Amino acid sequence: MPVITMREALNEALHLEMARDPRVIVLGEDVSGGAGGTSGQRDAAGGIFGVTKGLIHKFGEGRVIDTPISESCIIGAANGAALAGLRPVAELMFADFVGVAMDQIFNQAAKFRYMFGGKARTPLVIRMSFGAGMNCAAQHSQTIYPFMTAVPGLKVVVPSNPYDAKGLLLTAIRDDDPVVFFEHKALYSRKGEVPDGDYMIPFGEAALVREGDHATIVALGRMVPFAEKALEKLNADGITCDLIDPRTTSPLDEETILESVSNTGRLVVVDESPPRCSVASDIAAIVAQKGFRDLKAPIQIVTAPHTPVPFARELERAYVPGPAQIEAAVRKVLADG
Amino acid sequence: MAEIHPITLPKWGIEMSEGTVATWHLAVGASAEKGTELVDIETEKIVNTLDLEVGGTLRRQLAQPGDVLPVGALIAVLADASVPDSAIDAFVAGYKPIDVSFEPKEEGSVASQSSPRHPGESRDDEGGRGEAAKSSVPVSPPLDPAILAARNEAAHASPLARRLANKLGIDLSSLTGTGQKGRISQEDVEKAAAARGTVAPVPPAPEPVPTGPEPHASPIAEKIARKLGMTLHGIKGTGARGRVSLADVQAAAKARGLISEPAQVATPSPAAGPAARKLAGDLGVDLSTVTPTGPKGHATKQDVRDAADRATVPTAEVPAYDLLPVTGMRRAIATALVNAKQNIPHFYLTSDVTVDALLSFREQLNARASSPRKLSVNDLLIKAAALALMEVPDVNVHWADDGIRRFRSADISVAVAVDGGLLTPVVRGADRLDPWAIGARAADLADRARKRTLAKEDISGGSFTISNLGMFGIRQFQAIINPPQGAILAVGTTRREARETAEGGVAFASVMSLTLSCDHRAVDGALGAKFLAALGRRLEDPIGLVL
Repeated sequence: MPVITMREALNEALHLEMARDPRVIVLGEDVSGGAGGTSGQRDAAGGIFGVTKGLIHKFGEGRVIDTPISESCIIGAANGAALAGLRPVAELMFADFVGVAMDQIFNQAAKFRYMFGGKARTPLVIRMSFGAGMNCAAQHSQTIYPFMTAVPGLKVVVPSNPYDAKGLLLTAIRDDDPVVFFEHKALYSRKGEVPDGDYMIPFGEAALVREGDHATIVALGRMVPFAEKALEKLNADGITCDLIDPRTTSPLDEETILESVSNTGRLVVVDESPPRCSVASDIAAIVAQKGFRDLKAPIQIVTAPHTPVPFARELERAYVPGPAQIEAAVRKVLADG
Repeated sequence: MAEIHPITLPKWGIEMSEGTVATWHLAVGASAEKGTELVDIETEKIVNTLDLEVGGTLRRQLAQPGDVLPVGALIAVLADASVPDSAIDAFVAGYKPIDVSFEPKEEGSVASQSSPRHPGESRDDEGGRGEAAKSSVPVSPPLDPAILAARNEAAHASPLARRLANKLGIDLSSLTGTGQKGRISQEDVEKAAAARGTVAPVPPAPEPVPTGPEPHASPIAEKIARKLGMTLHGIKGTGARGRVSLADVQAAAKARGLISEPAQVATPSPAAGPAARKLAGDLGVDLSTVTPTGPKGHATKQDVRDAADRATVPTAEVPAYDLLPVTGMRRAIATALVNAKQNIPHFYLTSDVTVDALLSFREQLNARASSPRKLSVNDLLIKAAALALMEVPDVNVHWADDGIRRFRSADISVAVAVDGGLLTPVVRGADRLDPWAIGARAADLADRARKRTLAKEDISGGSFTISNLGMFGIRQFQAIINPPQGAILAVGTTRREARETAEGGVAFASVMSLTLSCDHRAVDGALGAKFLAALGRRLEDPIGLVL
């Protein structure tokens, strides 16, 4: 299997699906290339992170649409296109700026199918980059998937590796409901084996990344490779854990998490978003509610602190949860019971 | 990708799910520009003309005028003249239609699995939709089950039909569905099987043969199944979207006899939540003594408190003691010792030995020796006792029916406490071994005694026994003779004691009490005393132990 980056995997998924289904369009700021201006050079980058590179030449301006710098315009247009029968994949450069398009997402797109009695569908994918660790400062580094996960009617995807990213994006584009697709900035260059052709990963099915007996770690996005790193150290001491990557936070594969906790009796949830009303607190609550009797020790949560993301490199490094915190949390649940 | 361009049945309106191909405006082989009229499509309300979105040569027409097809079905293929026919055929055969139905999907399936079939799919006749194809069952060589299952997975069929088709080796792409929205039903498969002469088993066979892919399962269920070495075939899923859950696997494993009632048998402690467990820790309550009253057999905090109360105030229902069953070893010890203490006329001799020289001698030996295992006081004691036995051989005896057996070598039994009892493995020929060899041999025997891997030869035939409780701080004690041996030496701890010196002052010395239990039938008092004196000399002048 070819080893490619997550950026390339996402790009491959867009190429495949646009070739297969003429109704798929891509829109966003600079998605056609990013060089723009008077140089005539259209395919310089392919969006700020290079995910849409090459699409403009293959599929033309009619299907790869550069928009003004207006998130509400991007999502508003995508909503309309989806309702009219297209399958738009909208790109917001930074998830942080989704605020100005929140009405279009959580108050409109998420509700069309419900409010029109199932007669209207919104096959819309909104891709956005999130996450700290790249020194992008407070307005470009937040982890906001908990907002979207809280909205009924939205499906929320947080891939952690190239294989999942491609399979999940193909599933997202073929889904008839609005899907918010979160891509961690620091994972775009993460490499992994990705098959060439078409394959889909269903929503609501977690991946068991590592197997073990002593505790269950649930981690999302960039926290998955960090948890793997922590496990390398723990394994050296004979400690093994189930590492579960839910892959989608809505729908969430509660069953797999609860089953694993019933075997290990201990849970550590790792989430890059701040602790209050995070996906970590949600998963902890679900396990406390439905799997309490299986627990041998109090649940541990590893998240960023409840502050904006710092710009200073040292502070940002301290802000992002890392392998050391995960390792400490696992040792704590083991010590607690 | 300019090479091959599929043309599919368009969706003119939100409610449009199928269309009728009316008139083709372009013939196969003709080339045309973007925007050229290609074909008229009728819906229930309108007739519209489909224009070419890109220029090219029309290579295939996959629908005839009058055909009614679902939206998204492949109706034509456009490509450059340079593209070979085989490439186009492969493209048509491999084309997966797009699901635009907006219909709710089958449970557990994702988009393309429930796609409407289109005429080009898996048909041998390249114009598609020949009438003859409708009811005939093509006889083809049997397919590999895995390939068949994968191919059937893509067909628009009910799960039951798919399962039956996989079982009977029927290729679903060769069938036409009569079920809801053209879906292939179980009945369609049964009819096809009957036409072919394969009779569908009416009641499904009780033990399904495990072939094809295993059913969909949660990752944890798969993990546990793998650990138990079982397959997931035949397990009915009750989890999310029909997935096989952990509970399903555990139930199946129990039914297949792979696991017995878990947990409760192995660990008598009842399950308890963190709070109850913490309380048990705080109150010092052993969870296995808690009687659970909570749901699912879990112990609650109240149960723990009750158990704590019971522990302090014994009530009538709770026995005041734990009855421990007597093991075979315990019973053998009991019988042997009652016999020994009742039938052997014991008498006891105690003498104190100054061991300062012995201790410093041991330190010097250990400081100089390169061996990783250090000599213990006990190793030196065994050596000293063996030499003393050689000097006073009448103590190295067995009392037996035929007479007193006096042994030529000192085979010394060493008492080793093990879980649930006591064993006395024998260091043979201790008089001829140096203290290091004795130490190695004694350590090996003690280790095997604790692991219960001693052979009968290792524990029988000793001529004399040493029992050392010095490490527990016991000052002095009297051991019971290990029959048929004539004597046993009980070694106490080393203590500091003030002694009068030769010069008349007082100095502290390290003193050890040795008590010899003798069988008076074989060993008289003076003999025992002689032995103790010989032993004392050797311990107080230890250089002889290594010469």
